[in-house]
Amino acid sequence: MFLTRRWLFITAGTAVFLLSSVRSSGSALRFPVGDPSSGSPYTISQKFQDAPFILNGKTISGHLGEDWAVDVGTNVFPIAPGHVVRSRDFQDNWCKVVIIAHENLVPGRTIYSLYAHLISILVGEGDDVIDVTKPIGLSGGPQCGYPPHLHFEIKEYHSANITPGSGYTDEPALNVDLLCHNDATFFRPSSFILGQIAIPSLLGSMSDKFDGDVLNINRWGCLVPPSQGASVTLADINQHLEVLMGTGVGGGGIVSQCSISGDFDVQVDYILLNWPINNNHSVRLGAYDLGGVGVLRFSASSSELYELGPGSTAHTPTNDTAGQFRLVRTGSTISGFFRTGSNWTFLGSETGATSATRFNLDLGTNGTFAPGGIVVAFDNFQVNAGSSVCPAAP
Amino acid sequence: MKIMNDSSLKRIGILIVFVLVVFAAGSLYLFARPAPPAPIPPAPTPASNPAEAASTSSTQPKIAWSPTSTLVILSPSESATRDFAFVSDQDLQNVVIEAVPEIAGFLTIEPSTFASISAGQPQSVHMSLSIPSSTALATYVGTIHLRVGSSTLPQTLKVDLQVWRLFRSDQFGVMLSVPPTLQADEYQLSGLLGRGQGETLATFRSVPVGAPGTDAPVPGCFIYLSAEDNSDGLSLTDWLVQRSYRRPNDVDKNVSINGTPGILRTGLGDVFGNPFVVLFVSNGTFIFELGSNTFGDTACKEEFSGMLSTIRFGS
Repeated sequence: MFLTRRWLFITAGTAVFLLSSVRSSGSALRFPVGDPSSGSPYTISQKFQDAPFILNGKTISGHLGEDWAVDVGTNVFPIAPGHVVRSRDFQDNWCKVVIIAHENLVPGRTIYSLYAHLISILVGEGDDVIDVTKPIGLSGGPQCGYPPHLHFEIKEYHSANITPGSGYTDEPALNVDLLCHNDATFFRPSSFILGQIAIPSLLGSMSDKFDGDVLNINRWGCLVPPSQGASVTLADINQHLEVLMGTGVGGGGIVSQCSISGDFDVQVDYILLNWPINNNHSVRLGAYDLGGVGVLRFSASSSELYELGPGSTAHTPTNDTAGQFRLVRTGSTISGFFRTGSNWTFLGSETGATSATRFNLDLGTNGTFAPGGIVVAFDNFQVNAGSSVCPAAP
Repeated sequence: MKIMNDSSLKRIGILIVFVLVVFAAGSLYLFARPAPPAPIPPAPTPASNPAEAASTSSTQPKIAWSPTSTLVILSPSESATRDFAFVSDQDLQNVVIEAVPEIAGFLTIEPSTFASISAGQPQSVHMSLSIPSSTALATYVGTIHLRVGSSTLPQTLKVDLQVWRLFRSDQFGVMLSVPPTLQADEYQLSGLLGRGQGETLATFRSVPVGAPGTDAPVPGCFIYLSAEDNSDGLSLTDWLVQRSYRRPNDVDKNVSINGTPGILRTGLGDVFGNPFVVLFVSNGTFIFELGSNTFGDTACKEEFSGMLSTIRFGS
């Protein structure tokens, strides 16, 4: 059973993408239906991650875009030149959607803008959008069962599966400008257009206190579950990294962009923010490229414990709701520690590869009966020893 | 003076109680009685031949209609035909087929008379329906029956005639009928579609659209008709593969809409998990979509199905 759980962590890692640069400063981006500060009459009717509502008895929250209150037939313009990768009717509550890939907004990365509930699409897939003064579609809404409006997203996909996605998360809304969710990293659209999302470039150090209010996507990639897994939302908020997980099997978190080869010593703080006893979830500091070996705080079906895994039976019962994980490699020996007081407690060790590895901070489960709503936080990831190698800037 | 004895007093008491009970019962009857029954229709004229005699006897012939009912959706100035059959379990002579007054003005039946009908022998009948241009948008329900002499045989064919508003786009060469319960919002958009483009021609709704808002769905029925570019001349199947979005659990079903092949796609949406249905049908130049995801409105599915059955091409 433990092995299966760990395997799920590794599977989830296949959706990781690498980010290597930052958005160019001073990019002239435009609002799709006009800039409110320049006299445009249109305003946001539902903010990013805001204004949950009840539908069929279910609370819908975690809006992954912005809704702009516009009349049916309003011209919708692209935020910037780009390439039309989707322009079709996605039925459901999406209706007609245009998705444009922007290769030049952030060097080395592809940012996508999504315009949904269109009543008319005026560009075809494969078209290059050059003139941003020409509309790409006309706004709609009623054909999807909505009041008239434009749903607008800016995001980076985690895979080549370029579809609109879910539009919402299952987890409570977070007041952030950037978050990782299952299929993409989402930006608050208005903040992105106004250049208000500051993404630091790669630093010489891999350490991160998660105090920046925006996850440094040049330092961390999103580790998300497979498409059929539970929903996971990650955000740098409240001076730490919060990981929220919905009901179902899977897991998610972040993985470092930089690697360490040879000996290393890394540690991180964890906090169990919402952690019912025996919830069948694990929170972990892992060596991502070494099969996910790491230190876990595990909530088994009948016990709460620390353990080193995979391949080790080393575990220690605990009732801790906060503490620290530490992973040390010396030669081919990897040792795990945890600390809740002043002293580190040795958990166990195992023999592994000496190759370079990234590090993952994640939350996951394989328990189909596991409850949703598990929330943990990571803080103060710290490299005590080791030489990091980071992706070259383009 | 004669004084009444106990026995007399008892009798008077019983009489008073009886009168009170009768009065009370009468009052209850007066207040509680139902409306008077409809006047009894005049008795039929006595039968003048054996068949008519049979129709009023205990061995009255039984008529089996096939089908037993028909739904016809038309718009003013439109016409349609339906074929059906009936069979009698007895020989009949001088039979007339007729419709009740509620629908008689909309249809003609061929043949409308039969000199004789053999028991067990199916009889084919052709019904032509024509809706005058001034017809009010409404549902007209009636029956067609056999009459032998003055006797009407009780087995009937039910005709549900729904007169709906016509929506047509001459530019795209498509039309369909819209139930009077739905308001049509037509969009005068770009008109001609470039490669890869698509337009919603109209939205049909049961409630006002209202002011601009958010993703929170509006209660009511919303149905849309779209035209999508098919300038590449793809077959419907190829177009669906290349240009539509099909979720893994969506179900595609081949259908025929007034002789034109189409694909009916059903599924659960990504956003709220609402069931949606979309019909894809091609006239060669364009792919048309008739879709809805608002079946939480109980009448919407029926309205959608009705509209779907009326899509046709031409101008």
